[in-house]
Order: sequence, then C-alpha cells, then structure tokens
Amino acid sequence: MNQGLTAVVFVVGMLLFMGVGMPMAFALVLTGASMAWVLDFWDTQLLAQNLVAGVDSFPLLAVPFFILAGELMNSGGISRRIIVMAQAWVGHIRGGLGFVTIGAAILMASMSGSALADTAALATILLPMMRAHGYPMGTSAGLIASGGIIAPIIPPSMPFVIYGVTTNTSISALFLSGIVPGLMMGAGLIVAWKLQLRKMDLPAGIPLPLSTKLRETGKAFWALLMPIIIIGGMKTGVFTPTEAAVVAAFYALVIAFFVHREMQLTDLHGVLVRAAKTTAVVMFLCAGAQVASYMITLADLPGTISGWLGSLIEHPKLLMAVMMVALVLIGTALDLTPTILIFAPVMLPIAVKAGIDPVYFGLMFVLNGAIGLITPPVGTVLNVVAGVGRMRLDEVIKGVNPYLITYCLILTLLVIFPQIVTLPVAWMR
Amino acid sequence: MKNSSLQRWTNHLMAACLAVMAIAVFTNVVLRYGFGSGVAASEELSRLLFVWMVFIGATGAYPMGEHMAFTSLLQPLLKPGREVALKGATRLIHALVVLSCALVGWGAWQQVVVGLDSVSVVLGYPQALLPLPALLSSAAIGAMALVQFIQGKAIDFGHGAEVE
Amino acid sequence: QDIKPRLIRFGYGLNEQSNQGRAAKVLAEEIEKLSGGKMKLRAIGAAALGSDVQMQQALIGGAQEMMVGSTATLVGITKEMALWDTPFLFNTAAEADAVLDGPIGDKVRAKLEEKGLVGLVYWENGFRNLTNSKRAVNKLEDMDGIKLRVMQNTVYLDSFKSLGANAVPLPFSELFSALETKAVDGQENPYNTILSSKFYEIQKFLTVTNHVYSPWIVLVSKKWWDGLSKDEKAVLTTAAKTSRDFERKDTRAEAAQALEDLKAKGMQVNVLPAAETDRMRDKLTSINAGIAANVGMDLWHETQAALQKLRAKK
Ligand code: NA
Ligand code: NA
Repeated sequence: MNQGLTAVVFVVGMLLFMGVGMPMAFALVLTGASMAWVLDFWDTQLLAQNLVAGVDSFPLLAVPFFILAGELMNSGGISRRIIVMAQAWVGHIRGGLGFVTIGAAILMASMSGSALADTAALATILLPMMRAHGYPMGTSAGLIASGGIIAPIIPPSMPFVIYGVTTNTSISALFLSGIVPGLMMGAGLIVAWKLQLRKMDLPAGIPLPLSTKLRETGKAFWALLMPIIIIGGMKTGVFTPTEAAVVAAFYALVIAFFVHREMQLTDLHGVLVRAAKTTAVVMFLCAGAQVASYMITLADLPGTISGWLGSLIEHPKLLMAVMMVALVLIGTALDLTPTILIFAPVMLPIAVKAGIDPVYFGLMFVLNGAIGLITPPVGTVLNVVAGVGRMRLDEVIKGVNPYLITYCLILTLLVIFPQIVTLPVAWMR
Repeated sequence: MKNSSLQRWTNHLMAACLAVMAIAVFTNVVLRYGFGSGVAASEELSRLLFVWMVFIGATGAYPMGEHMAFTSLLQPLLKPGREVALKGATRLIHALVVLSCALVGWGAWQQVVVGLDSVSVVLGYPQALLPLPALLSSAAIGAMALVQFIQGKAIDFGHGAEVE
Repeated sequence: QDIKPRLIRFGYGLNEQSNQGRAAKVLAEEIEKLSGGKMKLRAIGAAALGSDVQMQQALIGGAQEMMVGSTATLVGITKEMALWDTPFLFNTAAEADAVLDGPIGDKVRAKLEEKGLVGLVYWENGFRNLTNSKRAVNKLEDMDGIKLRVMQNTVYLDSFKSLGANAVPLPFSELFSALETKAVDGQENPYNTILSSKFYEIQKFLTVTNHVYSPWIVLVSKKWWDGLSKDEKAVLTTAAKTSRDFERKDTRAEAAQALEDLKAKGMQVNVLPAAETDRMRDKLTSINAGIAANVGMDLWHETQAALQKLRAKK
C-alpha cells in the first residue's frame, strides 16, 4: 500500500470532484471510493455502510435538537424579546443600534448554535431599523454578519458538536472553551463599531426610563433563563450536550406555547419540517464525509502529512500559525461544516503530535472556520444578510472588512497566547 | 418551492421522525433525573429515526438543488458564449452523481440483503433498516440525476448552504 | 501446502496498546509464520473499521475478512450468543475456559455459520465488577437505590432492576461525566476498563462481584472462508488458538495488575461473599428463565449440567 499515493489521490480527488461543482456529499463519496481503490479496500458495501455510519451517532442528535430549539426561539418570539430588551438598554446611545446588535448577538449566541439562524433573526429585525434611522447600510450589514458568527463560538454550538463527533473530542469541553473567545469577539466588535462611529453622522437618542428598561427585561426573563439552563446544566454535567439540546428545544417549546403564547399547535409542524430539512442537508454532508474519513484513517493520512511537515512539528506555535493561515484560505472558499468534516480529521492528529491541546485546537479550528463564513467569495452568512436586507453582496463584503480585521487580530492573539483559552477551560471543568 | 404531494409526504415523515426522536431522548432525561431509570430502546430508536430523517431529507433536497456545492469555479461559464462548456460541465456533474449513487446503491443493496438476517440488539428491528434508506435514497437521487443528465438540465447556482 | 498470498483485514475496537491490540499482533505474527509469510494479517484497531455491528455486517457481506468483538453484539445475529450474557453463569475463569472451549462453546460458535460468519475462538474481555460512589456492596440489600449505569441491553437493565438498583441505560461515551457529576452513582466493567477509563478518580467503592463473564470472539467472513484451502483454514485455526492462549494469559495478568493499581489509587475494594452471590442469583431466576427460553432449553440444560459436572470435580 502506498500512503503517499493515497494522499495524492485524496487531494486530487477532492479538488477535482468538488471543483467541477458536484454536490459536496457526493464528491466526498467519490473521493473515498478512489482512495479505497488505491488502498486495496475496494468494496461498495463499505461506501454504503459508512454513508449510514456517518449519521448513525447519538452525539450528532444534538444538531437537529439545537436547530429545532433555534427555530422555536425565532417562531416563539424569544429572539425578538432579546433584541427589544437590548434596545431598551443601549438603543439611545449614539450608534446605539450597533450596540444592540452586538449585545443581542452575544445573548442569542448563548441560546442558539447556528450562525445562519442567528444572523437571519438579527438581520430581519435590526437591518430595517438601522435603515430607517439613517445608519450607513454597508457597515451595519457587516456588523450584523460579524455578530451572527459569534453563535457557533459561544455554547451551544452545532459546529462544535460536529467537530467533537468527527475528531472524538469532548463536546462539553469544546463548548466551555468557546465562552471567553466568544466574549472577546463581542468586545472586539464594540471597539470596531466605536471606531466606525467616528465616521458616521448619527444623533444620540433619549434614554428610556428605568421602568421601561426593567419591563422589557422582565419580558425577556424566560428567554434569558435559557443560557443558564444550557450552560449551567452542562457545566455541572446534569446534561450531556445531546440532552442539553433536547432540553433547550422543549424549554423553547414551553415558552413559545404557554408563556409567550405566540405559537399554535398548527405552527409546530412547520417548525419541525424546517428543522428536519436543515438538519438533513448538513447531516448528509456528514454522511458523505464519513466515507472519505474512513479511508483517511486507514491510509494514516495525518501520519503521511506530518512526515512531509518535517521539523515544523517541533514548533507548536509556528505549526499553529501555518495551519491557521491555511484554514483562513480554505475558509474563503469553503463553508464551516465541510471544512470541519474534511480537514479536522487530517489536521487534529498532526496538532496533537505537536503537543497542541485538542480542545484548544478545536476552538481555534471552529473560530477560524466561522470567520470563513464572512469572507468572500463563499461566505454564507454574508449571503443571508444580503438576502434579508435586499442589498448587493459586494456592499456587505466591503462593510464587513473592519470586523474581519478585528477577528483576525483576536485569532492571532489566541495563537500567541493559548492560555486565554486553556486556563478558563481548566478552571471551569 | 413546489409542493407536490410527494413533497408533502416526505415533509410529514421527516417531522414525525424528528418529533419522535426528541420525545424519546427527552423521556430518558426525565426518567433519569426524576425516577432513576430509563428506556434502553431510546438511543437505538432515535438513532434509527435520525438516519431515516437525514436520507429522506437529502432525497427531497436534491431536486431543489439544496445540497451544498462549491460552484465558484463554474461561475465564469455563466457568461454568454460559453453555453457549450457550461452544458458539458453540467452533464459531467450529473454523470458523476449517477456514478456515486450507483456505487452506493449497489453496496447498500448487498448490505440490505445481509441485514435481513439479523436484528438490532435492543429493539430487535431488522438490521436491513439501516442500509435501506441509503439504498432508497441513492436509487431516487440516481434516477433524478440520470433524467437530468439526459435532459441536460442546467444546475442551479442559486442555492448555497442553507445552514451552518 | 496449498497456501496462496492473501491479505486479511482484521478489525478490533480497542487501541493498539490494549490487550486486544497485543493479541491481534500475536495473531498476525502466528499467521505469517505458519503460512510461510504468504498470508498477511493487517490488524486495524481503535474501531477504525467501524463499530462491532458495522464490522459484523461487513464480514457477512464479504467486504472485510476478520474481526474480534464482543459476543453481546452478536445476539441480534445468533440468539444463542445471549447465553454468555447470563449473570453469574461462571464462578471462575477456569469454568469459563472449559465451557467456551468445550462442546457448548463449539455449538454456539457453529450457529454463526448459517448467518455467514465463522467463529474461530473466544478471547477474554473479563469478569465484570461493580463500582459506585455510595457504599461498599456487601449484601444484596446494599444494591438498593444505587443509580447504576448499564449497557443499553434489556438483559442487563432487567437484571440490575431485579437486584434492586436503579438501572439507567447510558452510552459508554457519556459515562465518565455522568459519574463525575453524580448523575449516576455507579457502573460495572472489567478491572482493565475501570483502570483505563480512570473511574477510580470518581468512584470510591469497588466490589468484586464477578457478576458476568464477557468473552470476545474472533470472527471470519464465511464468504471469504469458503474460498480458502484446507491448509489455509488450518493456518487460521491454529494461529487463532495460539492467540487465544496468549490473550487470556495476558488479559488475566493485566486484570490482576489493574486491581492492584486500583487499590493503590485509593479505591476501597471488597469481595462479595459467596452467600450473597447465591442470594443475587436467586433474585435473577426469572431473568435466567428468559435467557433459557431465548437460547433454547436444550442448550441451557446442557450448560447447567456441564457446569455442575465441573463444580462436582473439585
Ligand atoms: Na451558540
Ligand atoms: Na468564506
């Protein structure tokens, strides 16, 4: 068996099948099949078996449950109450809607695990308001997109679930690792927005009376309890991530039906269908990726590649920097989920060989991949904002730049000081 | 989005799968913390339904062009005067999808036959129920892609990933 | 000798450094030696070829040649395999060896053939023992109200319920954190697993119950097996026996060491008195009746008779 040849087949197959524009799940199946051929492991039964095995996993159930919870939050008025509350507190400041965006993004990130769902909710409510108040649309849309990608970093997080399952890393630990960097992203956005504000001609509003602020906070009370249940439940280990996800879904259901009374039984069918469809498309990709990653493991691709990397293995920070640059480049063209599914099984073993902490690496990997959601040419979150706001994509792309720079600075900071991630995780566990 | 009766039925099925999965897992949480017990079948049942839900959904998503694809390299072919190249590329994609469906379908068929003779450990359902959705789904997608290949139907660039 | 060059893909679930991995290596060396280097076994661990169930189906379909795995996961294929799930079936490892390697073990193995599998030999996973964070279990009543994680398997669930524990089914992957946070109070596994999974960090009491003996079984795809020559089959059979003898010795030494290590790590170890074992066994009469009906009364009585004969010898 020629491992070098298998590695070449993997890379060429990937580029070829994905490059021609095949649906990625099928491209992954064909890549896996080509590798099987070279590896002397050819049997179509293995392709079929692994396609199924890729989704036959209990931890992965967290994905549909978190998506369901997110759908219920949006349909049940939870997201809207969070935004209204944020507005009551900081809406009157000059450029206040920007701060509302950031605050709401962080709060919603602690309830939802999907960047696209959060971005859609934020953009739907806040973009029209920003437009009406004369905010410059490009940078406003950019801010919303940048706020939306905090969702997969602060727990709960779908990409962390997929990463954890793909690489066999503790999902609870990954979740905890995201809290501090997620808050740093929020802080970074505040700074960047303040700098942007200097160029804007926006009036300050009149602060609302405290009673109004408290009333809006009271209305959001049940929604605000959600992150405490999810993160608290997982930190104390009362729930596993899958259970936390299902509890979140049922909690959102109860709030939507009995507290906010914004949903009826007939709405439930639509919510279930939307969540199931969304899940199916993402998970089918997991299925296809399992075919390829089965062969990646058999061919010991990480071993081959770390052989190629030579002495770079002995310099963890340099290796980390190199891999982060590679991921930024990959992220421009590839979405977060396929990036995880294709590259995490190859990169993590190399990182571990170099002595890099697997949870820290997971956080960095997902953070980098999430940033890829707002980099052109393929930036799904950018598409969502442009779509909801009926804006031209290049206007949003331009608007996102200052925040993108901020995020890259954070990424660099975390490469230099891994302790920012590892110490809080050690303390929380 | 067109809403054929087939579409409606797949929607109902997927919604039912998701609802039962959620109830099965939630029940075990409640039983464990409330009563110190649990249902052994919960995990096996929810995993099986999950597999079915994904393959049903993937099949339904195919004609809508909702599967994630990397189409940036095809964008230049959209310019006028490059229709022939575009058609060729499209045909190639359809052919490759048919190929992968044929491979998976053939493998899944053999595994279905194998699985008819054994049952799952807890629930006792036939093991064939696991590869079966892969067989049905690859047959359906393969057939659709074959028709598209023959018709030379242009692929849809409008849909990217719908979730992340 | 009629031996052709062959590549055998052999899958197992634990990692290379485990007892499974060491025995797989012995098997590979033995096959290579006996076949004069013509037959090569490539052992692939860490479940890289999939879960036990996935590998079994691949073997039946002829997509993979060999594997070793738990007999409990074979129950869905051959119901007679449920015999080995019987609680308190064997009192000692010697009893297990005698029955598994004797006519009864052969009979159960042979049942696999009609399902497309060939069972070569039984390896040892080990006796399962109980740990918990509440109290030392010295008598049947001490089981009362212990929230105990069991495998997602109806026999185990019902057995421990009958003994008075609150049996909770939970995937192994979630067990450590469940124990750590007292979501469950206890679990049961062989010493080697208790040590390697670091349960000693979060569990104070270890009770030597030996409540069930878990074998592993080395399997061959029948589709592939049927194409082998007599000599090739003989190579595999002989090599498998050598690997079995090595594996059992190695596993037992490791288990004894693991028990010492667990004590050294501060676990409080006690042995369940034989009288209490008998009381527990009495509590499980209806469970045993269920297993007997499932595996067939003839096989069940034959097993009991064989065990009585073994016990009378002493
Ligand atoms: Na989140
Ligand atoms: Na991008």
